[in-house]
Amino acid sequence: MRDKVLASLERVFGDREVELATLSDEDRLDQLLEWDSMDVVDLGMEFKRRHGVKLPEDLEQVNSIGKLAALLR
Amino acid sequence: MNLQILGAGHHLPGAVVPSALLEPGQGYPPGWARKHVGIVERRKAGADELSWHMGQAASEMALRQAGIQASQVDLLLVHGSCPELYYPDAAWFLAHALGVPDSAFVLGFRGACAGFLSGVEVVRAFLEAGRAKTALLCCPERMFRPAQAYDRSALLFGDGAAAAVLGLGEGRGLRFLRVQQESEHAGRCVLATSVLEPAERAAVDPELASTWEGREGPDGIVGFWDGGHIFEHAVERMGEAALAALQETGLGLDEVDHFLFHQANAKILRSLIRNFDLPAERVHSNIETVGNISAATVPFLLSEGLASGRIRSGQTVLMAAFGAGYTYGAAILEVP
Repeated sequence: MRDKVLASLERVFGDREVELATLSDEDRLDQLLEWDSMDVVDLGMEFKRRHGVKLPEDLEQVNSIGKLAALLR
Repeated sequence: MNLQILGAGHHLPGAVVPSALLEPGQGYPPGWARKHVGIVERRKAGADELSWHMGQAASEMALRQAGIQASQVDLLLVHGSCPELYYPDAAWFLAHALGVPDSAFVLGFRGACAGFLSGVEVVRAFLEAGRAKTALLCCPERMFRPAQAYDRSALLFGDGAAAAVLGLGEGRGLRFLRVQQESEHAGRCVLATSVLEPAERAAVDPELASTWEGREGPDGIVGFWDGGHIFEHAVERMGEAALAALQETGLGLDEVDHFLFHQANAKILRSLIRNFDLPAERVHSNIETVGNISAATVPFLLSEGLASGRIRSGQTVLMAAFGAGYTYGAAILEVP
C-alpha cells in the first residue's frame, strides 16, 4: 500500500523538491510538502480517480503516508 | 459554411510586476506564487492603458492577420470581467478607436474566464442568422488592480488583451462548441464592487455570507473564493468538456495538435493534465509570465501560437475554459 501511496504522491507532488521515497510513514506531509487547500483537493481527486477511494476532508486523517495507506486497505 | 477564426491578436501592457513584489503585502512567504500557482510575474496596465487601449492593440493585430479593415466589421463584441466603467461599456470606446462603423452591432458582455468561448457562441448565432458577416471578438482584461483587494486573487491575475476576427467560410473551421454552467455555485467565486453595502453582500449568497466578513479591500472591493471547491470543479468540468468535445466529434486525443485551457493557476493545469491523461507537451501555457488574464487567456494562447508558427494551418486545436458562474465549455477548431 505504501508503494501505491508513494506513486500517487509522486504524481501530484513530484515537483516539490522533496524526496518522497525517503519519508517515513509518520512524517507530516502537509508540512513537508507545504500543502494548501488546493493540494488537499488535488490529492483527493488523485485517490478517487486512481484508487476509487474518497479521502476524508479532515486534514489530520490524510497527512501522512501511513494514514493514506490505511485508507487504501 | 463553418465559423472560422480569420485572424487573432494579443497584447500585454508594458509594466512587469514580479510576484516577489506582491507576496509580502499579501502575507505570503517569498517564492510562494512560483511554487504554488506557477506565476513568476504578470503585467499591469498603466494610466494610459485602459481596457479599450489594450483591446485596440490586440484587435488591430487580429485585423491585420485577417487582412480585414475595421470598416468591414459589422459585429463587435467586447468582454471585460472587471470593467473600469459602469457605463458606457468599453465596447463603444473600442469601436470608436478602431473605426468600426456606426452601423455595426456593438456590445459589451461578461462571461467570466470562459467569456471568449461564450462570445464565440454569440458570434456564431449572429453570423449563421445572417445578422452579420464579419465579427470582431475582443477580450481586454484589466484584472490586476481589482484582484489586489483579496489575498487569494492578488497573486493570480494580470492585465492583457486578446482578440479574434471571425467569419463564415467553406472548409475547415469551428467543429464543436458548447458552453454551459453550474449556476448553483455562482456564489462560491465572487469579486464584488464597492457598490454593495455589507448587508447587501449577505444577499448575494446567504449561505456563504459569513465568509465575506473582514475581506474588504482598500477600494471597497470584496472577494470570496471557495478555493478547494473551485479547484475541483475547474479541473473536472474543463476535463469533461474537453472529453465531450472529442467524443462528439469522433476525434481521439492523438488527433488534437494543441490544447488551450484557461489558466487560473498552474496547479489546475497540472491536475487537469494528470487526471485526464492529456499530453503535456501539447498543452500550451504562458501562466509563468502572464498570470491569469481571465477571458483573454484562451484567445491569447491561440494568437501566440498562430503568431509563433507553433499552431499551423491544417492543425486541430481544442480549447476549454472554466470561470466564475460557474461557467465552462470547450471548442474544437480546425485551423483552415
